[in-house]
Amino acid sequence: MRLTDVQVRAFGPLKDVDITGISGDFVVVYGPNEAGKSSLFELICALLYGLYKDSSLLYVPWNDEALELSGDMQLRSGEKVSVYRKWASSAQGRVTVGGVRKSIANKTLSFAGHIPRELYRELYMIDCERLRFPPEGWDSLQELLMSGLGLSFLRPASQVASELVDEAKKLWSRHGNAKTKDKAYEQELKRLRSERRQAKQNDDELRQCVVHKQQLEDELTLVRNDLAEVRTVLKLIPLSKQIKRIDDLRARAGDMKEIEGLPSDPRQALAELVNEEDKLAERLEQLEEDADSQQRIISEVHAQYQKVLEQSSDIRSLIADSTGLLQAIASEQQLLLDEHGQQTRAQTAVQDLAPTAELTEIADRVVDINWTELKHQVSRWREVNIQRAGAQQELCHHHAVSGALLPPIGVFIMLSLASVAAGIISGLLGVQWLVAPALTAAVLSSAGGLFSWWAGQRREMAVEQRRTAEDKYNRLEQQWQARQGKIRELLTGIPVSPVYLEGPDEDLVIVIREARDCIERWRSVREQVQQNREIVDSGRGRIREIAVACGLSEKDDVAVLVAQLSEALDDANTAKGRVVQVEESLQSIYREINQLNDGLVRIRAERDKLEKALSAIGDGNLQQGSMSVQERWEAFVLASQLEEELLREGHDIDGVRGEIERLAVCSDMEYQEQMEMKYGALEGRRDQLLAEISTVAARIDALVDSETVAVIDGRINHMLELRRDVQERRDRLVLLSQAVAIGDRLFREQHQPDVLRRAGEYLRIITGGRYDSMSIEEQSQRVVLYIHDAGGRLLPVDKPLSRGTRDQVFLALRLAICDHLDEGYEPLPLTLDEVLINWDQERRQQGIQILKSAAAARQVLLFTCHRWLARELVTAGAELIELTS
Amino acid sequence: MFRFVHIADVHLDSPVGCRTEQARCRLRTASYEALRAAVDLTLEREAAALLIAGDLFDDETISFQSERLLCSQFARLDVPVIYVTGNHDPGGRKSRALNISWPDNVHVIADGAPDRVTVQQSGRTVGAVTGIGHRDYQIGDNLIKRLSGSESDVPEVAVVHAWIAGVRSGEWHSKYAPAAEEDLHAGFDYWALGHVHRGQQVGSLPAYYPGNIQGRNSGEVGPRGGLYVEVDQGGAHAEFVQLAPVRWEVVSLNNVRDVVNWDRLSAKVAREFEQVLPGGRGLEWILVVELSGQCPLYKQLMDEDELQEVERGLADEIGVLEVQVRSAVTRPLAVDDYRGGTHPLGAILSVLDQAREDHQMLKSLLPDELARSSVQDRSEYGRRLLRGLDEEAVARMVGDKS
Repeated sequence: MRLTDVQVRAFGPLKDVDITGISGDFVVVYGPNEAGKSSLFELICALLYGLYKDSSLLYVPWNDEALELSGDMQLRSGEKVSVYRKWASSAQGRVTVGGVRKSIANKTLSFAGHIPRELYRELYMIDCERLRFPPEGWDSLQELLMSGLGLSFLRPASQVASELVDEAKKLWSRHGNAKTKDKAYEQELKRLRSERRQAKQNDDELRQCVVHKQQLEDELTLVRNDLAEVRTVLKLIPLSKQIKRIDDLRARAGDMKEIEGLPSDPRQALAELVNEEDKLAERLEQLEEDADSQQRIISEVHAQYQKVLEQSSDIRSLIADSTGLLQAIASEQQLLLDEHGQQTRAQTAVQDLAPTAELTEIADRVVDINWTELKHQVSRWREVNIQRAGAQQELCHHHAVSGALLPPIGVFIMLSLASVAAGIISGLLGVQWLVAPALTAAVLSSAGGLFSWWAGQRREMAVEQRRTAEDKYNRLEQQWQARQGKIRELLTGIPVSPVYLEGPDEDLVIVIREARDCIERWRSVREQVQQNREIVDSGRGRIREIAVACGLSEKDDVAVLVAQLSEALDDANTAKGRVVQVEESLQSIYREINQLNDGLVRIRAERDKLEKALSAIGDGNLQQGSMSVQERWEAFVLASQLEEELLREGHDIDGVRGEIERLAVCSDMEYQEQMEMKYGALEGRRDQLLAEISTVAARIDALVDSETVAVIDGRINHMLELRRDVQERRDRLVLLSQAVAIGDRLFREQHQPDVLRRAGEYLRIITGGRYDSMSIEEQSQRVVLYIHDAGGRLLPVDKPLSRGTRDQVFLALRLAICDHLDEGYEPLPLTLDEVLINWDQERRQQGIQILKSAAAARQVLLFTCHRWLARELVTAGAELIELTS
Repeated sequence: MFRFVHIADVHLDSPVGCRTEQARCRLRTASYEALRAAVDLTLEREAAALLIAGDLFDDETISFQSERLLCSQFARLDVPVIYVTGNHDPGGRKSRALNISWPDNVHVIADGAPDRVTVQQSGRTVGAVTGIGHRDYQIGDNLIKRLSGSESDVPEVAVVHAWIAGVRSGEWHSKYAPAAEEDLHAGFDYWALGHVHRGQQVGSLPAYYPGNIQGRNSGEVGPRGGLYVEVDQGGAHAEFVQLAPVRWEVVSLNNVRDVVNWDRLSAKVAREFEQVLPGGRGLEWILVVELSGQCPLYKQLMDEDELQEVERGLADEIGVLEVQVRSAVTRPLAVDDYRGGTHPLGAILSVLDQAREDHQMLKSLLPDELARSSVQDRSEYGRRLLRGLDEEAVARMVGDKS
């Protein structure tokens, strides 16, 4: 393929640049710095392979203008191809072949497809750096050239394979002592399996511990039961002794019903009975003497105050009444004087009412007047009297009114008639001046007539009213007289003064009331005098009668007698009180005497009974019986005390007996010692068991908290998974390393012979026949390149071979690779940017020659800013294309 | 009506597939809680029996603590607990199944002979349960064929731990006590099955696997629990009740090209998690995140230590018990760009392609001595190793130069 024309609308610094008419295959592009050589260098790749971020798109103009370029090419077959590419936010492209245009977007041109873009850039676009012998040495370079055909975008396959193997070895190794990841996992697995065994043992031990603990707890329960039983036995041993003693005492006491009721100390009881009997007898005697003495005192008092005491109630009554009697005697004279005064006042009042009457005659009649009726009648009479006076005045008034209305009526009638007549006359006569007065008179007469008519009417009414008043007056007059008659009737039998009877008003009532009051007061005083006299007479007779009965003189004054009787009564009462006391004392003495007698009888009976019972128990011997009873009682009491003691201590004696019987408890010392030893042994075993249980429980707790087999299995599984991953990873890496090695080997086997042959040709040209071929030898870890000199010697391409020779070998290999890759395909142009400039004259000429020979197979474009180099190239036959700045 | 609770495959104390100690401990207690929940369910629904169709525990690993838990929980019930043994807890001489001091209400059917238990409730017989247990670890006989129903007036229920051909996920389980769907004859009104850990009805028969009670690894995703069953003349009605407090779920992210930082990854996983979350609110989760494809974070996601950090971070961010990231991400390289290229990488990719097809080539690539020495089928293993190896080959060959 030959590039013939290039049109650049915009590509980096190049803008609207057209390079046309490139006709040769060996071309030098000259231009000063900044003329766009590097852009053109990159542009050729862009035309072939499209626009990419890591290369051509770096040349997008900064002013946001679209990147746009096109080129014309002529293929080896003569066919012309035009390519257009543009970048405006996305890649566009089209190709025109044989007049047929089609879109290719950003695709590689079909005739360049056999060389990938990376490979093209690596091999066909040679700049100064890529042609320079690598500073790191030949090993990497020869690896690159021999294995990868100089592809720097690929890492050396042998290196990759080696890394894979190394990496795989770090993961797994067949050697036991290798420190691989797999080994680490294996160790971890070993440790985990050990843990698992331990966990399994722990689980087994845990189960055994649980069973063992259960056994220990069962035994502990048994030991505790035994301990409880032995503890009970030990408690029962002293109780057993006590109960045995109680039983002995009960046996000694015998049947207590036999001595039931007998004293526990019979001899003492008998002595006490005798002593008590003596005391009672002595006391009885003393009391009988006291009773006689008291009796005598009572008799003496009775003899002295018998009469007074018999009259004592009368005397007390008399003394109580004596004050009133003495007062009655003292007021007797005064009452008589009052009676006389009241009688005189009553006589005076009666005479005021009825001057002709005597007090004694009308006193009862005055007092018996119906006072209420009298006051009512007097009141009614007074009302009627007032109404009657009113009616009388009204009558007089009506008489006067009816008489006064007669004269005006007549006058007005007369005047009316006269006026009418005057009017008629004046009219008839024609007397004009009389007409007015006549008419006036007529009017007045008419008014007078009307008034007379009204007055007449009024008079008729007055007459009617007078007649009514007269009727009323007459009716009241009758009532007035009827009331007066009623009052007279009420005062019948009393010669009342006529003055009061004519006008029976309030004065009559007052007079009668005064008379009645005076009469009543007089009568009252008279009754008092009478009553007082009766009291005095009765009291005096009664005192004298009592005084005689009490042996006093009846002639003494009433007051003296009362005093004497009072004194005698007091003395008698005093004596009587003393007698009552003596009698009470005497009663007490008699009661005590009776009690003492009863006591004596009881004690004597008791003593007899006791003596008989004791004698019976003692088989007729009182002394022996007493001793026997006393001993049995003592045994019984002691047994009871012991039982009470047990009860106080909270023992159920029957229960205790049952337990003793059930447990066959003995009370002997040997048995007790055996039990105590057994108790100690059981306690020891119990403590031992508790300690063992505690230990086992702690162990169980520890084991329960320990990790289980399943937990460790989980970790083992995880570890196995990791190990499996590592192993697979290792196998995978080894597989890949093998694939890399095989692939690399196959690639080299396919390409290296031809490359070496071609490279040998170039080398021969470059070196002028000094070296004529190349070969390689794969050694253990590296590929060694040899060159063959004319003498057939093999020289490894390494030091001490000169750098110049090595650079020549390098260039020859590159060109050979390109030829090899293009074999059978359209040869792609080789572009070289500023190469050869550092070579010396001789080597440069040789280099130019080799490029020229390379141009026989493909277009070779050299880019330089050095005019001298451009001239040398032109001299060597290169076509010059000059770029302006 | 015969009402009972049907559970199976409790697998107490069996190892779990967690990466962190915390999650392993939680799953262990979760199994305990799930069992308690089954007992609670029996009490709440006033069921007449609790049926356990085998694999109550892993015989070898059951701990004393778990035995104590089983006894204490079953003792809470005053109804029969009918437990048939499975391949993990067979009733042989050395088995724990017969050596545990079970409460009186537990009927252990640990022999290969059918045993029929009548179930009473409120003084009357409400149903009959016929069970058959595994005596040994690997039973190859068809136990179901040994069961025969009885003519009775009450519902007849069979309980057995068996592998039924053709059931979903059956291929993941050993074919112990194998049977065919046709063997589940009409002599029983309900078949209470165990062994297959994925809960399901067998065909359209009244035969159910409740699934295991608590998921233990990423192969046991989704809700786990037991069945509350009512059987009467009209047939059987089984209601699934979730009992597991911890749920496993897998989230697959195949397109992680845009995961350029931690926040993107977290958001992406959280979004996927939200899709499955509504089915199990209130539960604790163990989330398996499968990452594949090209990812800018490939370095972190392929580094073991960094991956652990990522897992911890995701667990905290999403609020789950544990996150397990299964990373198969690769460097964002266009592998196909290199395929067929005239360079060693093209040759290497060609070799790998050839190895996938050519047994001899694969054989030549595999090391003579595999680190995974237990591999039975080297070819299958090799093909598994080849998965994603192109990307790694490109990544390694290109290195940091691309």
